[in-house]
Amino acid sequence: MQDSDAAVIARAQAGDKDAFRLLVERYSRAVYRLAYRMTGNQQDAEDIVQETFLRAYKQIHRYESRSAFGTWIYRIASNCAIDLLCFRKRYEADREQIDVIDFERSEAVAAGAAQVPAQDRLVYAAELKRRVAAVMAEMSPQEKMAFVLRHLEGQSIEEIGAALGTGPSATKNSIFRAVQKLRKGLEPVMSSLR
Amino acid sequence: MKHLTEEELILLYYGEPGGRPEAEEHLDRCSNCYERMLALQRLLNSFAAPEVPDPGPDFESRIWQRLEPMLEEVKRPWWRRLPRIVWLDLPPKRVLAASAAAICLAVVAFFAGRTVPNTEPTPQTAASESPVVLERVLVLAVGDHLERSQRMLAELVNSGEKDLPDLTYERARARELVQANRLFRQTAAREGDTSVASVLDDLERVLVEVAHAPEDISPRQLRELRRRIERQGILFQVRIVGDRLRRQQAAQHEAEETL
Ligand SMILES: [Zn+2]
Repeated sequence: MQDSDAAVIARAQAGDKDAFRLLVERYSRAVYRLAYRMTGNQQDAEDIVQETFLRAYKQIHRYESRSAFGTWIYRIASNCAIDLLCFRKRYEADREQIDVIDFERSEAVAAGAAQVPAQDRLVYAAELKRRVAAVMAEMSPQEKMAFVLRHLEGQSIEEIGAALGTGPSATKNSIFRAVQKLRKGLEPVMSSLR
Repeated sequence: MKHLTEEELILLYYGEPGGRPEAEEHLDRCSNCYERMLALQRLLNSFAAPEVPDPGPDFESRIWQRLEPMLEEVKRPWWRRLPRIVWLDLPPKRVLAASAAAICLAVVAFFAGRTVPNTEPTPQTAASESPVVLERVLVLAVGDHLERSQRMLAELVNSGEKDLPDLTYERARARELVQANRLFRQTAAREGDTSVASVLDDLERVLVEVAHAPEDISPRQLRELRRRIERQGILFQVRIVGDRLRRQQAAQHEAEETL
């Protein structure tokens, strides 16, 4: 029978490395998925997973069972992802940005593309991608994180607040600002948004 | 009732509480707000989660293999970590010789990069990692330097308060590292690798601070120093660049093997 999280955590807190390994095995894929959505890059996502569990290991004695272990580790992962994004923003601004837009299935993209002649569609798609990248780069890491968690991971504002360590109104504001930036950046090219 | 704000529309879109109770009803009756809601839907529906590539069946064990040696470092008390530190194992004269060798290596790497025309074809894999590929010797030397800096700072940050009565060792090592760092930073900047250069720039500031920390540092000063190191996230940054250089080095190695 599988040991419960609580039992495994208690052993890990007592310094049992095998128990900690069990936690890594149980939660690393979830952390990876979140990290990938934040960075759009497998290597970066794995770096975040590694850093997350390294930080978790150092702080494991501070974990209290009031919140689920998953929420706790998500919070650490969010911080790592934000650190990495800050790092990228600062040092590697020219790096290619992630694709979060589903170009194939987007109604607005299709409507916009319908208005340009067929031979210009590639140019249109490239312009759209460029604008999405520009908007994503303009978002602060917190805004991006809040948007990814709300929109792509389907988490509630309450859960996001717990993950980012922000209150409800600050969390909402991060999401509002992210959506506003998207709208302002894409309105000119997605004509059906008007 | 006034028209709905964009914020209220966003909350409605996500089904989040917090808007006015009559907001939904208003949306049904007001064509202006309804149109704005449709536009918002079209915008947000365009953003779908990209497929997350499967990291492979060995993902968990790969992560653990990378993680485990780092956990060892965290757990070991500082006096047991000391013998692992090369600088402190060596008698003072050899420390000097070793650091001189490191500096020579950097200088040689720099001139090799500058004066010897690169006739070998540049491997694509390595070129895609960085705008300008650092000479392999430099890659090796910088990677090694980052590793040592990271270890020193990690020890400083991770050790308990009682474990660290004074900073004699750390200061001495930081002074060595500052000298090497300066050379590497200048070389990286000249070679056009801006991301390595700016990480080294930040690292240098931290190293200088450690090198100049008071010998009889108070627990409070030490706590503040640690907090500054942690807040800057320099350790994580150094690890990222270190990993990148290691991958670059591995790619170069692989490319050479296949030639
Ligand atoms: Zn209205």
